[in-house]
Amino acid sequence: MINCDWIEERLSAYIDNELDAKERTDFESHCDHCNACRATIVEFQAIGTLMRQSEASVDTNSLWEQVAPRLDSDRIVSIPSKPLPKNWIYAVLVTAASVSLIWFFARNPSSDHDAGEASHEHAALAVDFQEVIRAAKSEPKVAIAKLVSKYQGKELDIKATESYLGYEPAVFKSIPEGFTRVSTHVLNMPCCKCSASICERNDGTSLILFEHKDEQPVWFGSLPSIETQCSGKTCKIIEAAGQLAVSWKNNDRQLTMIGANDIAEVNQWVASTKL
Amino acid sequence: MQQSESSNSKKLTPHATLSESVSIDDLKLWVRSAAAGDREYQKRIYELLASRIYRVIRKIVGTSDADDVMQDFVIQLFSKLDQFRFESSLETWAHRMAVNQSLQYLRKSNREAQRAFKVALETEMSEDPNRQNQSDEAEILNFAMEKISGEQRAILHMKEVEGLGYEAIASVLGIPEGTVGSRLNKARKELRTSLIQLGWEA
Repeated sequence: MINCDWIEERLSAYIDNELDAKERTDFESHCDHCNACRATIVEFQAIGTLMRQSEASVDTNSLWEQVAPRLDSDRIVSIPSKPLPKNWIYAVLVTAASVSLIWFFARNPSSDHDAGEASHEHAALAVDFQEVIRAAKSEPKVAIAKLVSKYQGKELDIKATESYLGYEPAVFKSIPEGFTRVSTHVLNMPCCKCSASICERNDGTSLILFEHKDEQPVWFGSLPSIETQCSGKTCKIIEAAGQLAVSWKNNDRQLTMIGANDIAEVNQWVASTKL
Repeated sequence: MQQSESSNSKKLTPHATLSESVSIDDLKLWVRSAAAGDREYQKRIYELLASRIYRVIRKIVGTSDADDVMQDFVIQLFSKLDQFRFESSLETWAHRMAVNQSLQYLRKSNREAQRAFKVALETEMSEDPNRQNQSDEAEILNFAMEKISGEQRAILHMKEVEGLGYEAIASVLGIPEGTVGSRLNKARKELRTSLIQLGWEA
């Protein structure tokens, strides 16, 4: 027996032409003498018309111009399954040799739950670190200069740095053998006050070590990262511009290093920074 | 009974068969090259998909967040393109990714509520030039759309604007084809109720 309930269950299928021939005939026979069911069909069809008529135009060309530069930046290799193969980092370097990175210091990425929102909220505050990272190894002063201009930074000596931050940065206490601290700048980041120290290797190349004392960890936007253990600490690592950017927590400090050559160097630094 | 709308809706959806304008061999070349990072082929694939994908994203997350979600989608698309195996059409595969990403975006931080607020504000202020040109009915539709879920906006958009069949909708949403009709019924009923509360008449 075809009644209004039977019709109601099939209203969409009828309108969308998804009923078989028999059901269609039964459906229409009922509706020929049922005003209520016909009225609902008219309303459902009118909704479709309204949706199509209200569909605003789309301009996707300008969006391409915005997103295209990010494609290189965000083209990071997929996260390797655990356990990590011993040579995974070389695979990363080989397959993503040309990637660069957009790097955010976010003010409030306290949980994954908020991460997406934070990235949008802080888009205006974020610095494109692509050039910073590229420059970290060979032209660290150029890299620092970009940050200084963005974040009201200044170079300070040890005492003034401690006074500005209110604590002694770990990098002042000890750094790995084979490195020399060249300079330290302080930066007024959206998250917090932060120190950035250029540390030079014996071969004249450099890396930059950032340190801040806020609850918020440094994070790398929405970019895929690898979490692994480095000298007993959980490190978040991404590969960028043929170098590594690494972040780890040490007591109440968050340390971030840009321009590490390889995982061995990361381990060396994590093990050496004392608080 | 005459069935006027369903046949019309299919004519209104050129996007549904866009990739048919590209041969499968060409498309394979495009996908391989784009996955390897070739910007020219990435752009071709973007142009193939962008309009349709942007519309569904905008429908789910709203105008003010659509650009951000679209950008994230494009990044994800090209980072995962090497996983595409031509088991479905590229559009269906990308569409599924976009819908999932949009719904995930909404779920984070209860953005449904934020989106409703933003749409109300935008409509009130009429800052968006597109919105200024919209009819009263379109504004009512925008409000009413806020009352239904992101999933319901997605399925209605796919049916009414894109004109997809139930099989294709099921494939994009990853749900049994047999449930598409009842979900559309529910979405249409709820949208109708919201529209009527706002003074709409069919």
